Amino acid sequence: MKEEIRMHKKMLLLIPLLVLASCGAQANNIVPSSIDRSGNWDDNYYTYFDASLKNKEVEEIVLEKEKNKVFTTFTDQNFIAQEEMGKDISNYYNDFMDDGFGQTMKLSKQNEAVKEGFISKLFDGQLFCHQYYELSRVQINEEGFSSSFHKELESASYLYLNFKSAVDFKKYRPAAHLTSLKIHITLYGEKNYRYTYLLDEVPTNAGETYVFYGFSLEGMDLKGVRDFSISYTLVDEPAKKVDPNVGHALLLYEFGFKNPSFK
Amino acid sequence: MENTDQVSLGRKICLILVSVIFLLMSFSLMVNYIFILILLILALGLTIYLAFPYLKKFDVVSSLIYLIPVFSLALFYAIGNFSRSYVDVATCVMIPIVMTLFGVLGMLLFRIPKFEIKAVFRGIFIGLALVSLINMILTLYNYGPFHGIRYSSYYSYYDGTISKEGLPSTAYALCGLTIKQVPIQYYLIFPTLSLGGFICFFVKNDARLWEKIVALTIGSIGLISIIFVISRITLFVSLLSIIFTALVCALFAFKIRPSNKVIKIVLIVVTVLLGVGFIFMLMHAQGGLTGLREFVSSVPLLRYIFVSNRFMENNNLILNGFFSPDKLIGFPVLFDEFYEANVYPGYNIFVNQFMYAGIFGFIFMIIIVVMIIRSFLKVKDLTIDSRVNKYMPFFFIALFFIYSFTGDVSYIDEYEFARFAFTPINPFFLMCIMFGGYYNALVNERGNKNA
Repeated sequence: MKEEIRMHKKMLLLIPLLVLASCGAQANNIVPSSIDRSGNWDDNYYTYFDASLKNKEVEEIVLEKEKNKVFTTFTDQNFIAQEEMGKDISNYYNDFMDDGFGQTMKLSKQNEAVKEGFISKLFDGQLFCHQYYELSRVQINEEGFSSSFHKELESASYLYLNFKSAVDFKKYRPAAHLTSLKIHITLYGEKNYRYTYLLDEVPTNAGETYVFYGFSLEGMDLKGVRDFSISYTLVDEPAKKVDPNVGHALLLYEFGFKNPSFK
Repeated sequence: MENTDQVSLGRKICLILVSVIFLLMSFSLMVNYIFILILLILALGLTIYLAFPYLKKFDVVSSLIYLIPVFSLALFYAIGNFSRSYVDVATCVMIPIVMTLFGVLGMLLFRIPKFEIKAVFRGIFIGLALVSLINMILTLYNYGPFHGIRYSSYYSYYDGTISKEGLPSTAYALCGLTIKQVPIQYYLIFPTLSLGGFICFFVKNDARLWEKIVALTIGSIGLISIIFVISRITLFVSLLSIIFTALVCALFAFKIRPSNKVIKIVLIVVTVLLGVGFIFMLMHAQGGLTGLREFVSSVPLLRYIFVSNRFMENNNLILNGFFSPDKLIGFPVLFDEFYEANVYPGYNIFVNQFMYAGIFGFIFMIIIVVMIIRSFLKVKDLTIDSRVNKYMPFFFIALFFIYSFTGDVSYIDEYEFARFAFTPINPFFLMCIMFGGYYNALVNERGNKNA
């Protein structure tokens, strides 16, 4: 009998263990089905932003095109890139091929931890839609979202982001036009830096026209970087002059680094 | 005196070896077949050494009766289209050897004097409960409790791709040395099988108090692990096993001992139902019988069972190829999205036999199951062995096969077939082979003595 009671007491220990264990660590990585399947533009925004990161002090760094080797491409005629990027970018359009830019540069190759969760879309090497629509992209509003690399980024040569700018083309079909926006990429580490750049004349609702944007991380303080966030500020969106309530979004397809090393 | 000590020590080492084999397999650590083979040969060598003085009356013929279907099933796995397209040659050669050796191990184990199979079960169940506990904590850590209900319309993503089924169909588990997101059928294997611990509790004339407490703990961990991930899928997968365990516990608790006649009637009814259900499923899966398909689609219950649920999709695809000559020895595995007719294992071990080993594999599987049931009916009336020794292996086997009707035991990863001790041969099936051998030998050896 005593033994039984002792055993039962041991079993009771299990309960606090289970309670402590139940923290739902993956809760941010799973999303309701509506985010990819509802067909309603407003449901598709991914807005998770870690509360602790939102409140952190951030130092703003406004990037300069020459100094920070900022590169952008809007169409393949308007290709503006540094020499370094030129070599890498030669296979930009072959994102499914093993030797394409996407598959060779994708972050999940260097860091398996980013394969988990909704945001893994940004690290799978798929730079373009390929008619997967909502399934291939992360749709964000101006407030953006935050996520984590799950490991510490020690160094990298440059950072890149492949995205499209769009307004709700299901509800309202404006023709392709140009938008002006400031893109903010924040890296959270020992210190937090928000890298901002004004992109003028970003094609919006322009079909299969993607924006490939990035900049050099040379000289940047990457100490302790584990988390990041991406957001933007609309400076000029002509569609909003027609309908102020129309939803604008950045459709993100891929985010990565050149030569990243993780601890 | 020395001899007795030696035998006693040898016995202990032997059961530790056997328990360790299955414990390591439960942790998916023995994905390399050479590793299993080495441990198995060690255990076998030790068993033969310990049992050698008692092997004089070794009845080769009756042993072959069990080993031949086992070897044949294994052979068809090895040469089947599935293995040839998915598995390396070395592992294919291993399969018949390993499976048959497990059968032999079972046959020899009971011959060691005072060897109690319940000690092996202790090791196995403790391993199962440990794995269940770890997986439960991992799942709770990542999703929180009752995620099947809280996140019933949520999806998870891996490497940029949305999971085919929703979040309730996944859980977290320790696979080898990595923590992964796994299909819930894999998560549920361990707690469902460890429900067998509850049955141990009721064989009270043989068990000491601490043994009963261990049995209760093991069963409870299993049950709690299932409850925390409860969802429509969990109920579908585990409910039958829970009901079976509860039924058997009730039989023990109220000291109801159904006569062989009653058991036979129940078995016949169940077999007929399963047989008819299977033939129906088979016919329905063939593309040509549109009249039957229309009939099934028009009746909501039938439609739910045979068509609409996620489990039947693969079953139907596999059974569709039942009468194709090129699928005689199983299905090739085609993973690449550019290939057509990509068939994945269904959620039913019997249907999967077609895929792994073709129609002959299916036939030999049935033969093995029939032999085990037959052996159990004979063994249960023997007065010679303790009740735990007699009943435990059968309940474990029965629980495994009941589970296999609803939850497949081969998947770990939705995106690639992980080598859970190789897909068609999982550790629990090997245990069934071993215990089947144990029963077969018991019947042939001691059944004759009793007669």
